[in-house]
Amino acid sequence: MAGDRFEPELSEAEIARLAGGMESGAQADPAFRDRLRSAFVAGELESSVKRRSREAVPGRKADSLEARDLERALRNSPEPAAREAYRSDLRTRFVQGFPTRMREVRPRRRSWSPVLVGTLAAAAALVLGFRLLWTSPAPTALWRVAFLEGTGPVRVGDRDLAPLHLDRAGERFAELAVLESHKNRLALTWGDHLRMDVLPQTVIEPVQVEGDQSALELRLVQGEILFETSPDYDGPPIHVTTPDSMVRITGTCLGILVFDGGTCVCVENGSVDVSYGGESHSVPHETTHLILQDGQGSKVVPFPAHGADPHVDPLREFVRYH
Amino acid sequence: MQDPSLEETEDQGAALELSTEVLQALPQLDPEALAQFFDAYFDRVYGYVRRLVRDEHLTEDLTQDIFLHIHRALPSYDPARDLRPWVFTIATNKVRDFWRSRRHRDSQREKSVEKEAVAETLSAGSERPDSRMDGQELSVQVRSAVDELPEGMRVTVMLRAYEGLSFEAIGAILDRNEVAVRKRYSRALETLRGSLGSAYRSRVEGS
Repeated sequence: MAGDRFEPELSEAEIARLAGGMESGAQADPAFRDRLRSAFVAGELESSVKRRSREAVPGRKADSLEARDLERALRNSPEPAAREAYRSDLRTRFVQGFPTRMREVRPRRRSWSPVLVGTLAAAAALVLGFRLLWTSPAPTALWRVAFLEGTGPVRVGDRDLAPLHLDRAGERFAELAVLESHKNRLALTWGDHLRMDVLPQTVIEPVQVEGDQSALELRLVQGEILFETSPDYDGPPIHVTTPDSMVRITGTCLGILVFDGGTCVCVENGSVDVSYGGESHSVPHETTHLILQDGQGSKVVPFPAHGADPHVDPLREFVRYH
Repeated sequence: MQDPSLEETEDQGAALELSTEVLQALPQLDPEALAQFFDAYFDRVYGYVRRLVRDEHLTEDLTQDIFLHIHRALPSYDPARDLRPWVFTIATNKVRDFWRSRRHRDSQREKSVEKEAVAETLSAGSERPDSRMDGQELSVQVRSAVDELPEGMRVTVMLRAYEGLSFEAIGAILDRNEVAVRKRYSRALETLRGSLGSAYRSRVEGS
């Protein structure tokens, strides 16, 4: 093989010739002479002869065959092939000079911490930016409550509204009062900014935000609401508080469920900030964040959670509906 | 004990030979030369890494690191030097760096149970009294047995049996002398024979 240092190996004939001397006038093979000279000068002659002698022992033939068979089996094992897209991508970068390192193609097991820190920092910066820069006027849009499903009455503030009164066209309110959906599924909209599906057995109530009249804040007392705001939503911040957390919504589609064990925030699109226990957490899209009751911790699961969570199907239906 | 099989294997690097012009253009990072180099070496490097680390995504990570390293090192490459050992030195060092990393140690702990299961399967297969493996089955069995070798032996077997490098070249890559590499390779084959057991021996005796 090119580049290999020569490997002195002496045949029995060569050893005999070396021992007995060469015939007069006979010319040694120049290559052999050079190999022998190098081995002699390097002091490797003895080991070379010994090695050659060992290899000539007939009893070793079986082992030799066995090893060669083994090597052949190794070489014949399936050749792992790379994905063509990966190969093509890497080839382009290699030829063009690797302007930057390629993306990490393997998800690192322990890489979530820096990402989380970065996300929290970005979220904190975003919140601070809103606090400092938000100067829009107080919202003037109207609330509208409409039926989607159900036949029973709905309570809005101190009024019980029948389906005939509260049809799909809905009833408009300048201010939202306490809303109890009972056995009905409702559509609650606020101008063109947001839409909520209020599922059966849900109670929400508006909250006055001290010091920030521009923010919309709702309290989800029980049940489930499914939010959707436009991706380029530029309205006032929307806060939904639950007994266990506060969810800040801007341009997203998500479901929030209050159940016996705590609060579940399921994000379909966009991302939201969830605050509880004095800390803020960013919940990315296609993720479900469970906040357990009474500060018993939380957990994040991929969305959808294999249909196990009762809010998943309504959320998808909500998305399909739009 | 020296194994007579340790003579030079057939040169499997013929396909990796690049013309002198290409070799001389590599240090200048000539795009055409880089493309030829990549086409010649990618599959070998990828296959080498994949056989050592097994995980596809990890292989892709390491392979891109290797080619990035090669690209950065090419300006200092001496065209008179044999290219293949140089490339596999970089590849081997990258894999060994990974093996020394915490990332690898963590994954190894997680796979310990899985490895035990594989070893049991392999052992059970080798106990079959009437087993006479065909070539493909033997390759799979050998592949599994190689995976169970200690990392140092595995690298040696890969460089020798798959890449066909000389013991001297392997020694240069692993920073060992040639004799040590021969011994390690011999021990690796011996271990493989033991792992494969009677099924393998029956095939050899029958051939």
